[in-house]
Amino acid sequence: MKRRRGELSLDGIIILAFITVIVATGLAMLQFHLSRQIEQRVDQDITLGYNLVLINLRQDTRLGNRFEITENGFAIIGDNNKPIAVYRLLEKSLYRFDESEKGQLIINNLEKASFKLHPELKNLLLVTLLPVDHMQLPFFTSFALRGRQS
Amino acid sequence: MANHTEPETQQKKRKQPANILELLLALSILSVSMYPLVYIFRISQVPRQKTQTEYLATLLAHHVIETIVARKSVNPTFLPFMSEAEPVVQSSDSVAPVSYYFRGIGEDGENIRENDTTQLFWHLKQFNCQIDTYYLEGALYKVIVYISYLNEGRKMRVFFERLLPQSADKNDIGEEF
Repeated sequence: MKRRRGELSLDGIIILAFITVIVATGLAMLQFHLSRQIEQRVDQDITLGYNLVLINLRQDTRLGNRFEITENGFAIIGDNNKPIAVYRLLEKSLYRFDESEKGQLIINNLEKASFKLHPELKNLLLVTLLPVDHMQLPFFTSFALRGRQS
Repeated sequence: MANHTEPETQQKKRKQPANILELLLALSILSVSMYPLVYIFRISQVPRQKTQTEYLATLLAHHVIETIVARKSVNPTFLPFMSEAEPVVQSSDSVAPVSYYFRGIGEDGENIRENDTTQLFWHLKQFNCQIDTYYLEGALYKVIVYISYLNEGRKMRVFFERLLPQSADKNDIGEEF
């Protein structure tokens, strides 16, 4: 029996569909694997690191009632004068240390980081981050304390 | 003779092109098998990426809202006033006053200028800040912060809104939208 060129049997189509599903599953696994490698993504897109800064600082300032500026960073102080979180710039990377002193890398490849209180408002922290790559976007915004003010 | 004619008819039958039903069936099977592929690409796609300028404008709008929150916290009677679109940095080629929310925030306590050590000037020069305010029913006060910039000749705006209480309740610093 001679098959014409280009003709595909129903079995062939089902096999093709099966192969497509297998390829799709493989791609899905690859995508999820890549999405878990957050540090690699931060290197590619600096705004991902900036988003981490925003998320963490917004969360901490909700509870904090005082800022304390230190030599290489700042602390957000909560009730009982205990720090809720401490942010330190170490070797061009910004780390967040929680109450248990456990450190977490927030963003790396920073040339300079500036944390200072607003000249008139002591409950407002001005944050400026300058990446090593000058072509990249700088970070500048502020965070107000929302905890109970003493 | 019959033995010769039967295979010929079978061959003829097989040589007949696929009928419309078979084609539709094949098409539907292929379409269904493509669905997981399309679905996976859709869910694994990174959310719409803002341009860097739009991202920075969002950060500036965030700065203004946070400044309002901080002022309201210190002085519960504070309500922000309306303002026209004003620059956020002090530039030698503009006589317009720097926006109230960006005054004195440079490294040396002055406005952000060209020689500022934080190198923010050139990134922020393109932005203007405008504040709109409205008195609402229920003793509420609505603030809309617009950060505008030009993108390929078109005026773009990022805005944040916030509802503030008109009362002087120290614990109530408003609601963000």
